[in-house]
Amino acid sequence: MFLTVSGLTKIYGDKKVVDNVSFEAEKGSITCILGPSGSGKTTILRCLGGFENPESGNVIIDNREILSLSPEERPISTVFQSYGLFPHKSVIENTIYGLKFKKVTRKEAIKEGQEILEIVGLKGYDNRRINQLSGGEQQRVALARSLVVKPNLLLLDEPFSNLDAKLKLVMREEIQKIQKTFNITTIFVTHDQEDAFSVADQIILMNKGRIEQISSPMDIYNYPKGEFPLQFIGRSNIKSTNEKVEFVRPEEIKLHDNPKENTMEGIIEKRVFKGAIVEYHISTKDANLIAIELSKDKVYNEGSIVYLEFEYKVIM
Amino acid sequence: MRKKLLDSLDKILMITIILSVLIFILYPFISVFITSLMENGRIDLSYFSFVKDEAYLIKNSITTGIYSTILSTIFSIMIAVYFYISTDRVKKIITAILMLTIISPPFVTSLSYIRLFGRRGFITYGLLGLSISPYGQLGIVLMQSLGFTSMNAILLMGYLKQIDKTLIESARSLGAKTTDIIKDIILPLMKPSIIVVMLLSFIRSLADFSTPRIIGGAFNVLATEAYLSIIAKGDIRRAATISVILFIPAIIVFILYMTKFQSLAMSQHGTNSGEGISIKRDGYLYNLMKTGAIFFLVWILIQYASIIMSAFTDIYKGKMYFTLNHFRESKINVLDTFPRTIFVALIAGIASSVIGLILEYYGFIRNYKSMKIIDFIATMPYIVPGTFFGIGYILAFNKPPLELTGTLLIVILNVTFRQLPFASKVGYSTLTQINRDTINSVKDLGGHDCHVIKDIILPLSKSGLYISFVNGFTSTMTTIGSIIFLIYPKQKLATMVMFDVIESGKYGVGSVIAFLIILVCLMVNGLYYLLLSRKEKKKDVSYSIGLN
Repeated sequence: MFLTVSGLTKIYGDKKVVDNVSFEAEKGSITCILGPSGSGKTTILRCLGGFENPESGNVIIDNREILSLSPEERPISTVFQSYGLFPHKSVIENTIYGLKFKKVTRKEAIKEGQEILEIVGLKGYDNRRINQLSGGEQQRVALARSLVVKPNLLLLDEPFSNLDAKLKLVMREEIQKIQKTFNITTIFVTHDQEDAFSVADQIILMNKGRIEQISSPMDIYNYPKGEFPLQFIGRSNIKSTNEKVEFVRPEEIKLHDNPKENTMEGIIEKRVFKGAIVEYHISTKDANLIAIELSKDKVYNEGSIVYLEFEYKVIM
Repeated sequence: MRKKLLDSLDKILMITIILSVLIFILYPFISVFITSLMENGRIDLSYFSFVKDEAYLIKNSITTGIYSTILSTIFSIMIAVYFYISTDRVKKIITAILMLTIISPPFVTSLSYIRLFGRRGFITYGLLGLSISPYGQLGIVLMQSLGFTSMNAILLMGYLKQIDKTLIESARSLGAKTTDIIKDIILPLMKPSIIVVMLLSFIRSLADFSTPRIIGGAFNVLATEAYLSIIAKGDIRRAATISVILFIPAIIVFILYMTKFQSLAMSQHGTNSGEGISIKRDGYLYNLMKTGAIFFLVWILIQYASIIMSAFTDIYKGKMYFTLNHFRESKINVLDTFPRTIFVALIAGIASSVIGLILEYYGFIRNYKSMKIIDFIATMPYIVPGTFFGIGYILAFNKPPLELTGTLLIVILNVTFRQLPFASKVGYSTLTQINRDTINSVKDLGGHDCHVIKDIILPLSKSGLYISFVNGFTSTMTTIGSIIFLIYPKQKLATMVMFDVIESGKYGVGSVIAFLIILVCLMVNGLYYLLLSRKEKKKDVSYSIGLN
């Protein structure tokens, strides 16, 4: 494995913010650390970057133990949430800053920097000042600055949190594209599951400093392991008894006008129109359920009687 | 009916503030200019001829200013950078040592310099057996640098605290070592604040007359000449003229500061990240900064130790012994002076903080355009030499209807309005933190502007008022320049007594008074920090309650 993290633990006071975290990542993959605020996800990233010293654990990148190294010695580069661009330096100066510490002449450095700027879509921005750039452009500079040093591991801390909704969609694609171009092993942290679903190869779901589940995006949605992943990822109708917890996602409930085999009668208590989809709050004799249908299909009125076709899945 | 009453109360308050700024700041200013530039109602520049006749004074002032600026800027950068990188414990020690110099009279270091390096100095004579004259330009430059460095370092430290920590982490993540971080990130980012610090040092040096007076010997500068013009020659017009000349660089710096660096000064009151940075404490540049900083801090400590030592000891036949004689000797000075000084400092501290806050309330919250000018005038005492402000008061208030010379009131007014710039700056930053909607709610619920002041502004500005009170008190306890001409022999304040006894060579008594001034300031500042830390504890409690 290209990256192996094992037994990583970080303690603040008497609180284990990162509790015995272990995971692996293949070369060239994107891993997303997902979790609510305070789950310890950013702390893991800071431990990898060298900005926090974990109490115990091992981190091996390309067969090399790196926890004993200081941040400047690690073959890792971080793109910070607030980007951390140097306001007193131009775009190109920011981009090639890391090459100062490699055996590269300034001329070569500028050439390399310009190439990278072109890849991230900032050709000709060399002499701009940082405060003249938009948020998206700043993020591209931060990304270029990290890529230019050819790190073994690229860390992105909440890369989409400072962008507006439209720009976020663009940057998700951009980052994915650039990551594939460089085939660079990447870990990013987010609290937004949509970010995780659309970009990641594997998702590490964190809660209270512990890993709850490591899976591909599809698996984590379809096969949540335990109640936290079920509650946190997507929405679901949950039925828990003493022995087991069962669930069904709202879009898996099919609505029919007439009774069929294995359907359950229900009445639509409330309808919420959400653009592409319509959400129904339905009461049946067993439970209140939420169902989702596309708004281009038949739309039911509140008070209508419908017949629900669905199957509960047991969580693992 | 009730509204009318409150309306007029509001108006009276505002007019009082405006009038007091005009009368007690602007009018003395104008008086200095009129006195120096006019004779019998006509413009007369004859007094400026001394610029040609005694050009050496200008040269002395400028060279001293340049040397002190360079030295104090270099040392303060070293201290600030070392402070920024060092551990919390070292930070506490540095802060404590710097505070010590802030709460002592400006010329206290000169006193200990003479005690350490003078003809009979502990070090030069006592340890090395040398008898060197400490007087002259070198002494002035060294002592001014010592004083300015602390102020500059505190300013720079405050600025560094605001640097976004991720800048440093980014640099590390890209491979930068400590030396690179200092060279590429910290120092370039400090540049605007370094320029501010240099400008302030330069005009402070020009304005300082007490250090050159005590330690300059035959070396005179413009500021001492202005002082001597009044004290020795009784020529107030000459003093006013010199003050006008000293005012020119000050106002240039001030305008530069207002236009170019205002944003910098303002942002200093903003939020700070609080936590320090943790980078490796190694590399030649770090070690250079550390060496410079430690050298300076040890030097300050030795100087202060020597003050305490000379307060409690005397030398007889070459041997030093413990004694309380100096305390006994200074009893006559102290018993009478200290209560008066503390009284004046208390009033100045309280009055300036309240006036500053209300002034900013009308300017910032109520947003009256005319208050912008008043605010500008209120800032002027910050930048002009203290002697200028003092001479202005003599000239402005020596005849009816405002004949105040010789009273204690003129002293109180002078120190109060001299502290107004700081108080109004603090007031402004406090007010920016009050939510506009909170204020609007009072009015929405039927309250009057007077209620806004009473129920919102004053209670929410408590900590700001504390800060400007402590600053006003401390500055008044340690000031000398602006009041030295205003005080009649019978009502001297502590710093002046100290200045007098040092001038007449009674260093032991001088040390005792210095020691006592520091002690009083230390107590007031200590009380403030005690209140502050108790408040913070309370805050923590309410915070955790809020969370649960």
